[in-house]
Amino acid sequence: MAIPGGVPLLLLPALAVLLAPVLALLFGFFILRPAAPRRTHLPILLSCAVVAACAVLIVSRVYLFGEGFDIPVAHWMVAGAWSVSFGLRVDGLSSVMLAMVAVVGGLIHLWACEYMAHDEGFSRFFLAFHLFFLSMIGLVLSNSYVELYLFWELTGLSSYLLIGHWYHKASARRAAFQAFMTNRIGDLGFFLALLILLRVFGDTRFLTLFRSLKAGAVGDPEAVTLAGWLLFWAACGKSAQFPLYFWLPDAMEGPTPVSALMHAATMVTAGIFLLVRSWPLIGGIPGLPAAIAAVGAFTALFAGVLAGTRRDLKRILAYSTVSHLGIMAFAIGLSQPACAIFHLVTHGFFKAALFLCAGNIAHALGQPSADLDQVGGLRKTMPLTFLCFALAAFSLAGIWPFAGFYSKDAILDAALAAGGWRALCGLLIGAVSAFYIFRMLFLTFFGPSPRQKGPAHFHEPGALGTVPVLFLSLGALSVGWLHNGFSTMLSRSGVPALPELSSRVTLLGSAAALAGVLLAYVLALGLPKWDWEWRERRPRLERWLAQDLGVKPAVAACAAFVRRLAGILGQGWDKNIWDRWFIEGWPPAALGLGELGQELAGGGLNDYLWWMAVAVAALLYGALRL
Amino acid sequence: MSLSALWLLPAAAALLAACCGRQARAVALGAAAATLGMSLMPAWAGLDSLSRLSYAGPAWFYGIRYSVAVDGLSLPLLWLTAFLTLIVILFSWRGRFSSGYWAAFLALEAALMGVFLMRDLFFFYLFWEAALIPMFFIIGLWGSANRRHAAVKFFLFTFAGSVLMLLGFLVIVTQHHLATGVWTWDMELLKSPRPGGALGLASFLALVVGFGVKVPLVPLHTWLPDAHTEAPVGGSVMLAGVMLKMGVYGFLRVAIPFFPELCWRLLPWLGGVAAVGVIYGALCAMAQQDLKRLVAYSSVAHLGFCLLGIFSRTQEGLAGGSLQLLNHGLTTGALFLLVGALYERGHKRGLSDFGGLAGRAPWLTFFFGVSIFASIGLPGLNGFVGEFMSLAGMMVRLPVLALAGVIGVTLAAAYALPAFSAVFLAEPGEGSVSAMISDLSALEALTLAALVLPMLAIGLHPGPLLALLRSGVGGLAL
Repeated sequence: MAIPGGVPLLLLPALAVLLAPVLALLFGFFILRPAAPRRTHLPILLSCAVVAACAVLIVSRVYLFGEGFDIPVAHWMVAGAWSVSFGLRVDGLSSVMLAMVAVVGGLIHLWACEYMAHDEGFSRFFLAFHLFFLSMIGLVLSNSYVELYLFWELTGLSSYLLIGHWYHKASARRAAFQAFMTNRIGDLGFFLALLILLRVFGDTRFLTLFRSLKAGAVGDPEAVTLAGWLLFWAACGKSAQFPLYFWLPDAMEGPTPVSALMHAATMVTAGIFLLVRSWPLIGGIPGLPAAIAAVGAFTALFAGVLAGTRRDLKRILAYSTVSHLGIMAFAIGLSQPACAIFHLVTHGFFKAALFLCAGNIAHALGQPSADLDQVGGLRKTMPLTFLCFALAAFSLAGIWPFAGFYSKDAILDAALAAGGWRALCGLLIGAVSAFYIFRMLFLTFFGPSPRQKGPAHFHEPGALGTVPVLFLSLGALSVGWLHNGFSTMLSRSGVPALPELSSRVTLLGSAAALAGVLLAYVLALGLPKWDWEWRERRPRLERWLAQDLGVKPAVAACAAFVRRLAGILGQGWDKNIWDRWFIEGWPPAALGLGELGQELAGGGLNDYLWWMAVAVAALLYGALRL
Repeated sequence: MSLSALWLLPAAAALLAACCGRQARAVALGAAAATLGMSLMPAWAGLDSLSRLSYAGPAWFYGIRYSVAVDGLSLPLLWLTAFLTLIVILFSWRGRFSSGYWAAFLALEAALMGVFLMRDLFFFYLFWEAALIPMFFIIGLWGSANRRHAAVKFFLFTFAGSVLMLLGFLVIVTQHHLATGVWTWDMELLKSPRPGGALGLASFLALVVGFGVKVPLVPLHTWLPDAHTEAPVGGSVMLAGVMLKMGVYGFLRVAIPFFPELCWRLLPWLGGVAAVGVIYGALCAMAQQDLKRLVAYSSVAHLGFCLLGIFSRTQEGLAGGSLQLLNHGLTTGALFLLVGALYERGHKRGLSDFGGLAGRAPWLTFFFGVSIFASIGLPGLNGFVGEFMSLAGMMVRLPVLALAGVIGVTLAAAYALPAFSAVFLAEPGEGSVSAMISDLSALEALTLAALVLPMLAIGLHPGPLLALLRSGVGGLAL
């Protein structure tokens, strides 16, 4: 396809970030997997390095020179005037996402080499893992909705493979299916939105679509409104917003690197990315931003509270991710998509660091995950992990000068400006997140409480297990300092800039975070047995919390309903009633003929041919007489 | 090369195979490969000159005339028929079958090629019916336990449908004669003047039911699970891969071109039946415990997508719907082959009879996984392109039906993935036959690779095939 305006300079690195993983996957699957499965990770690591280098190159050139492009690359589906193409889009938004995904994802790949070293499915793991990475890269570089949907579904496929990596465990299989199915229910909205956008605009390229939206040349505004709501529904599925959030905590069944990659860089951030990318479309739909804000705020608080009650280390972090995705959605709903993306980037760093720390702890135990009962006082035996965890926890809680502070502060600023319930939610979310992460920090690394096993059998992992975590936690410390450059870059691609820091917001936000930390300190260290005792005293409350306040039974009931409906239709009705009584039983003569045929077996064919001849003759006669 | 060779060669080879006993399978392989090669030759010669290949003989009594032609719609279907026949023969290569088996498949191929070649309604009907006979024997003689019942049910059911279809043809032909005084069965000439009024409606409905049984449309589908389940591997592949396409081909070649206005007026009904089929087939598939029945019901759903696209009468819908015909042939063909491979090894087909095959048979698992994901419409594989374009077409006409289609896409994952998980991932349970399952042999893996590669190619670069199909069906767009 011809490229309008010549070949852009950045096209080469942009193609390289897509081709390097593809080549690594092909080489790994066809050559190394049969020949030397334990070496499958080598070309993949090389590809990660290429991707990270190119991504940094792209983001720096986009920042320094304001470069960027949106070009078609190849036709995909064509029918006359109707067509859907593949293309590449590099702008502020996609280059920021790309850089974060490449750096964080690359570090997690590196970390996984040691973590997965003794796994039986080592090569399968790395291939699926890299496919996951590739899907996300393709997703952020897409230049049309249909292409984005392709990669969107590929993240679904790779997450299915990875969550179910240990497929001999029934829980892993169930979690993988649940994740894929819940995402599919969200994707139903995406698919419909694609069809609607194609019907209205005849095209789903962002460039042409947003241009015609801006010009106000929309034939069917109601359909566009509907498409906006459907895109939000899709984002709810992928980015785990209430009520489609429940798959994400269960997705912990996968190996820890998968959780880290999925929560920090790929998959769940895709929904937020979709909303920000679609901002020119959804921003103008009346009522939709308010709804996104409400859903986001509710998800953030709901999951934050649940995170404060969980005991499994990875599960606490999983609910924390749900909560943070809620915060990002909240920011989008407050018409601050730049804040959402900024928070997405800082969250990527601190959440990846937290997951890898939790993974190091569990790895020391030789388990997929660890429970609060099994840890305590780890700062003595795992000082480096403690340091990294603490850096990331400060960042998550939004304490100055850590990265999370800058992004949360921007969101809080918008929430306070909006006033009313939004301001209250903004402050509450800040306090809740500080509470759960410091509860986890205190219970894991301080103490140990009399109910915990203590630090005795823990040790630091090898270099590959610590260095990537260190880099990630340094990122969790420092990426927030880039907020000015970030803001300039995004505003070039049509996303409004970040709000200025103000002392009032800083003060309020820090106060909320400190309140959360203080509460965690009192409940975890001041009353070291409290976390165990309230559960014993109030078992019904504990069970209710464990069932996500009744969401899990409701989801199970819905699934059971569909299965029952299918059973009634497919077995009861279709086979036993429709086929048996109406098809095979009517008219009785047909049944008799069938039995006759059964008795005569092959010889029965003669009869049929006679019947056929008679019938044809009768028909011919009738027709000719007409 | 004459187009008639495409059906004459397999027909002659069928006779030869029936006579020559032990060499039958070699004859079958040679003839199937030669037919595939010949069917590809028009593409070699250039797709713009397809019309030059057509041939029409002299008229016989009542205007019946032997005439053959290919266009952008029938050529890919000829490829599919020849390709799947060759695949089936390769896949059954190691089986101990009598010469009749190989002859039956060649006869089936000849009849199916004839259906897609003939441009005279009489010969079209002749080949249409002729295809039933070898399939009747394939199911009835080489099928599994309940084969006779299934064979008779299949025969009676589809035969009743074809008789209705013939009735429709007769009305069209005689009405044409009454209007013009000319006897003809030629598909082109019969298009005008068309029968109108009540008689037109009646003959259109007769065609809809006649073709609908083959597709199958939903209330008329119950022959399909029985026939597919009881047929031997190759029979299921040809049934699902090609014979179901005859119904949709009938709509594209006869029902819609002959009655374009009626078809348009009845769109809510016809499309509604197709949409019901998509959801109904998916829900029924969810309830199945037998792998073959599950795949059979999924066919009901997939063919619903084809019809949704075709009835929309938009460029994208027609191209996507007819592409979905080929897609379904490839993916369902591959799935039936794989289920057949499982059945040959373990003599069981239940979802709970296996388990843990991913570790025992990695290539079987790989090919099954790719085919399953193609069949649930994962973008990048072929199923998505067909479904997406079909539904995009329907969205322009009746959004409600497109919505039903999208729900069908969602439900597809709900029946396909649990089945995949139960057979390949779950731990084997009590009475599991997994221990008997060995991985695919080199020949089997090769035939499956030949099916899976086009899935990927169509998924990523469907352009040339879509252009070809559109040259055949684009004229039906409104």
